[in-house]
Amino acid sequence: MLGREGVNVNTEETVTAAVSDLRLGSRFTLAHLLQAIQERRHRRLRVVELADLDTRDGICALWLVTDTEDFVLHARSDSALHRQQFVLHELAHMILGHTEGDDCTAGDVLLPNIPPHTRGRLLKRQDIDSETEIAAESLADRLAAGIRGSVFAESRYSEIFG
Amino acid sequence: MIQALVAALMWALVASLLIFRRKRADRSITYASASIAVAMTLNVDAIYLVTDPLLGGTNVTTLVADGLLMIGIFFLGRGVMKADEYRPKLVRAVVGIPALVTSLLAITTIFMFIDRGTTTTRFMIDFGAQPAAATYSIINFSYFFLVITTMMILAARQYLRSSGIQRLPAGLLSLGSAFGGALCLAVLTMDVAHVTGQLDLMRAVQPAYEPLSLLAFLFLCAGFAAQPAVRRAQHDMRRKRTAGLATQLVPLWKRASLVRPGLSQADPLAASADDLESRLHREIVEIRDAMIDPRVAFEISAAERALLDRAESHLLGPDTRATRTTSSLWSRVDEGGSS
Repeated sequence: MLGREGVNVNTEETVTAAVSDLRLGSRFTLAHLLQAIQERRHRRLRVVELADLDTRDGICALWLVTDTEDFVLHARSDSALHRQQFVLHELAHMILGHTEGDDCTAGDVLLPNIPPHTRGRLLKRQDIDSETEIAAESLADRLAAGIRGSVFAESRYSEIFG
Repeated sequence: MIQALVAALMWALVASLLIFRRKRADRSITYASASIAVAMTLNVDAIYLVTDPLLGGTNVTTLVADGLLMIGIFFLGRGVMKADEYRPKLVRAVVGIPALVTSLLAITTIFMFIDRGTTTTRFMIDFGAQPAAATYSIINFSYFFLVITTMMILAARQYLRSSGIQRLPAGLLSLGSAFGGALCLAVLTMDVAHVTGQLDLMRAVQPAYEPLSLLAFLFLCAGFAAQPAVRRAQHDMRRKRTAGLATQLVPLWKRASLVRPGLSQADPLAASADDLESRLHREIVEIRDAMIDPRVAFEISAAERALLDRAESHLLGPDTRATRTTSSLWSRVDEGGSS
């Protein structure tokens, strides 16, 4: 059995391997990341802000897998950084392959506008209390760092003269 | 005197680049500066009078110095070509290895046809009336002119794109390149005037040579030295600001973690202090999580909210293009409708 340190190391290794597998380098935009995930999963990915997502249980984002598409549904937030984290967390689940073997158990109350027959599997960003959630949130942080890197990336001019 | 000053400026630039750019992958500007520094040193009268007799006393030192200057300008041109989208075909060709080798061979060959007499520190004044000497100088300064004017356009574009302190090095480089271009034009005019016997024109332009030379090197050296210094200063300022914001948010973050434990509780490595920006990111996320979770009671003051907003703006930066997507992948569904 792994202790906490063992879990940390495993998470770190998993996240590092996942970032490397993306082949996006250390800096990328969110648009590039979305594109890479679509290509990797061979299916369309849509990110939807749901104004009436039920957040009573602390849920701020969901990944909904249908027969043909992936949906990331997220709550409204005034914070651009927080909103990005919602989305990155769900993308991290996709990258880490956390959907395999899980069933959709969402009640109608969560997805009032999504017809039941379109639902396949579902994961949600709620509490960071399991190994998969820890890994997804850790990977989301790493992805945020990659996006931040692209925002503050040096221009070629600065690389040569700076 | 001017030559000694220019050589000293160049060596100061080389030292500054070796310090401020020691970890940088591209070395074009360092190689350019070192090569030009050696060339300018060889042109200092006292050094020229010592080195040229060692090379046979027929002014071969002039060829060596001009060859090194051309190699230095070649490296500068390579840097310029890598630094921006602006890459005129002619300049791309000039900063290619074949063009450099051809130019070096051409000036060497033509140099052999100059009746060079014995060691003199006034090479072009003494021999500039010879067509071979004029051609030699025209090849050199045409090469320099092409690269330096491209540098001027690049620096001016960078000046327009920049803001604040970042404008300083780009402005200095723009001015230095402009003086360099004017210097090349002055020399080309003197070369043509001398070889065609228009000595009045040559003498009219001649007084501009030394001031232009000094101004070009002064501003170019200042610009090339300032650019990495400004980059480093801005990097340090950002790092300090990140650390300051991360520290200021700690009390709020601790309160948030108490009511809604996040990743930092489950995985302390996630908020390690090694990467300050990642730590600040985690603090903001966990505070925001607590703020929107209706299951917990978490209030923040207006001052704390302002601090949180400042921290978030600091991480997101002024340009949020990388963090948002306007593609068809992203949409919004409001109550009963979508957009």
